[in-house]
Parts: sequence; C-alpha cells; structure tokens
Amino acid sequence: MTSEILRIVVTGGVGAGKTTFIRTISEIDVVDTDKRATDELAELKETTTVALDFGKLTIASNQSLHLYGTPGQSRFDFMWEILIKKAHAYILLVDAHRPNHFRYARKLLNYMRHHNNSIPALIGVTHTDCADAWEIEDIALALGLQDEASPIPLITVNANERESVFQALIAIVQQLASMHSPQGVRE
Amino acid sequence: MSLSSSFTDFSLAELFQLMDQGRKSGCLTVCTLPDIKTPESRAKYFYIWFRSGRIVAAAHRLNGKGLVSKIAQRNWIEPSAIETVYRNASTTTPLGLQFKTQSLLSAEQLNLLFASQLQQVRQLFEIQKGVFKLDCKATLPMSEMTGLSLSATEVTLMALRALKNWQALEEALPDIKSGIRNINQNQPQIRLNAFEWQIWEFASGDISIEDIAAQLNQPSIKVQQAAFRLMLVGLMEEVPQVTSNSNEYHYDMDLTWVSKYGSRAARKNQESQAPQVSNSLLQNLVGYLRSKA
Repeated sequence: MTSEILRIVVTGGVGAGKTTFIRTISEIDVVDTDKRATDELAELKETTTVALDFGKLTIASNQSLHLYGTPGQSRFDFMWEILIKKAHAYILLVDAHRPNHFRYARKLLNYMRHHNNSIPALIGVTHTDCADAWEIEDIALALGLQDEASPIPLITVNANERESVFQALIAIVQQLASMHSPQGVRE
Repeated sequence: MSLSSSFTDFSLAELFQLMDQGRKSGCLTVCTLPDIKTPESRAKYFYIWFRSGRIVAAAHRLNGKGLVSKIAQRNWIEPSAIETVYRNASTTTPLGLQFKTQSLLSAEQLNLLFASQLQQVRQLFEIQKGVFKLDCKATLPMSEMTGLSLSATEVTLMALRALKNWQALEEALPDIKSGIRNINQNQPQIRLNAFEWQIWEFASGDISIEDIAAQLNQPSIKVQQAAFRLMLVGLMEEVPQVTSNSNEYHYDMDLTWVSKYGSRAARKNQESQAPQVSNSLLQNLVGYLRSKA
C-alpha cells in the first residue's frame, strides 16, 4: 500500500509561534534544531530555529500529515525553496503586536506566491490578545492583501491551544480540498 | 486594539500606503521623539486628518486655528474679517471653502494653503525617531480644512522623490538581492518619472535589484529607492531571491532525520512539484482534525 503524506509548511517571522504551533499538536516530539541564538535575536528569543521544525500526525496506517516549520531568520531562505516546492499548502504566522515583523512577513508571502502560487495559503494572526496588537484588517493591509480577486484568508490563531491550531489546519485542508480537481485525485 | 507603532518599526511611508489602500479616516497623531543628545530638545506633535485615505488637513496643534493662522501670516485678508468668518463659521463646511464662498480667498490661494499643509506633512518623512497613533473615531476639523484633499500615496510619492536622508527608511527598502515583480497588469495611472518607468520595465520578479542597477549603470541604492516608491504606490512587490545554497552556511544542516519520517525534502535533486494527494486523505484528515478540535 502506497503511503500518502500531506505536507504543510508553517512559516513566519521570529517569535510568531511556528515552533509552538507544531509542538502543540504533533504526535511525535517535534524534531527541531533550535540552537541558542548568538546575535541580536537573543534578546527577543532565547533560542531560534536555525534549520527547521518537523511534526507529524498519523491519520491512517498509510496516511499522515507532516508539518514543517521554517527558520525565523531570513538568511536561511534557501530552506524555504526546498520546502515550498514540496509543500501542498502553507500557513504564514504573523505576530499582531510586532509591526516591525509585518515587512518580513510580506516578503515571505511574496516569495511563496512567486515561487508556488498554486497551493493554498492561510495567514494565522497570533498574539492578538496583546494590548498593542493591530486589527486583522490592518495587518492584511500591511501585508499587501487588499483588493484581491482570491484573497488569502486570515484567522486568529493561538499557537498554544490545540483547538485553535486544529481549526487553522481544518481551514487550510478544506481550502486544499475545494481546489482539488477530480482529474488530479489519486484514489 | 489600535493602529500605533514607532517609525523604526513601521515607516511613515508604509503607514500612508496602508491609510490609502485601507481608505482610512481619522486623525493621525505623529510625535517626534526628543534628541537625547540635545538637552533642550522636546517631543513635537503633529496632526494629520484623513478621509477615505486622502489627506484633508494637517496642523501642529489641535486648537483649530492652524488654517486661520496661515491666512493671517500671508496678509491676504484683514484680521477683523478673518475673525468674523472664523467666529461665524459653519461646522459642516471646510473653513477654506467658506472664505472662498465669501470671495475672501481665491481658488489659487486655497491651493497654496493646502500645499503649505502638505509641505509640513512631507517634512515628517525626514523624522528619524518618532511614534504614531491613529484615532479612527476623530471627527474632521472643518476649521483646519481647505476643502482640498490628496491621496496619501501621492503625498508619499512626492515626499520620497524629494527625500534627502533615507536613513529612517533603510530597513524598509527592498534588498539588493531581491527581484521586483509587477503586480498591476494595467499601465500605471499615477504619473511616474523617467527613471521609475525604467525600473517598472524590469519588474519580472526574476532580476535582482543589483542586476537592474548594473544594467542601467546606476547605483543600487537609487534603484532600491525607486523600487520602494513603486511598491508604495501598489505597482510592484519585492520578491526575495534564493541566492545561496546550504553549503555556504556554517550551521550543521543534517536533514537526514527528515527522511526518517518519510520526507524527501532534504534531497536536492527531486521533482519540482509536490505529489498530488487523494481526496481520501483530505477527507480523512478533516475528519481526524475535527475529532481532535
């Protein structure tokens, strides 16, 4: 029996919650390559993902979901290329209370859309409970998502809560299912 | 929730783009932070009012006398006449229009007054350190309004073309390794200068800014600045390019553990697209996730 894997990339800036997102629902201990940050990031986050995070959910004996968390540092952008080519969908996590990260998130989004525009995307807005968090509609504007024919959905995500993470995954898998043409289905 | 930040984190240029594209209304308060090296330096406040993404007024104060002060400075109208119009002004019509209706100001004079307000706004782009906050519920101050307006994007474009010190925007400029991609299928509606047109012609997404600069025989910074302006007016987007491979990095990039879990993502010579998944997997997955949620 051929095994099937659905691969979802979880990307975003430093501290957006990528590692937590995967760790919250993975059935295996998340394989991460977190190393102690040695540069200016140390003040923001004690460790930062220098390669990628990997988590897994087994759906059936031959079906599973794999989650790949990208590094939070832009200098590892070659890793995005490896991942995005193999991904069936991606989730971009954006920290609502760090406007200084919106620019980077926008670049990530442009990168993804330019290199693989055919796969579904979802923007998960995290840290919305912080006092200085921006409204989702303003974050959408800051990411350049206005007036689009097929806009990328934005939803609030709490990466620490299983239910919230599952809801985000349901949203993107449903998007994928709706895009699935019968000709492309392998039964 | 609020729309507030510092210019270090989110530049005035990007903020104006957001105001325009979001058709925002309200009062934007800008506070320039005092220079810690200059003891007598103090925080300064400036207020800009927007209606549907267009700037309708700007002033240094909130007492509603900025516009009449500008009129008085120019000696266009007798002080007593200014005072009479101001005292009896309608609260529903811009004060500038009321002066014009009473033939006390010409259309040209109103243009000059509005240009003076915009000049103050353009000077804000030179700010190196400051904070901002938008009050979307603020009512428009008729006493500061000429009746004229200009889109925030056009103000930004004019300000950036004249900007001498780009230090505050260094972080916002597209990377020289990035490409620039045209996101507007139509010809630009906004008036571009000759150099901006040249840059627009290169917006395929696959040519890096440094290569564009080399082809045009121009400094990269000049191309970065022009590309940034075109990004702000919604004509193009920055597309990061993958310019290096893992061998150039000093980190231990052992990805064999990924293979262990069935992924081949770490292999370099793979097919370029992800294999299709079956409806069965998607349906089972949604069912599984719902049962866990």
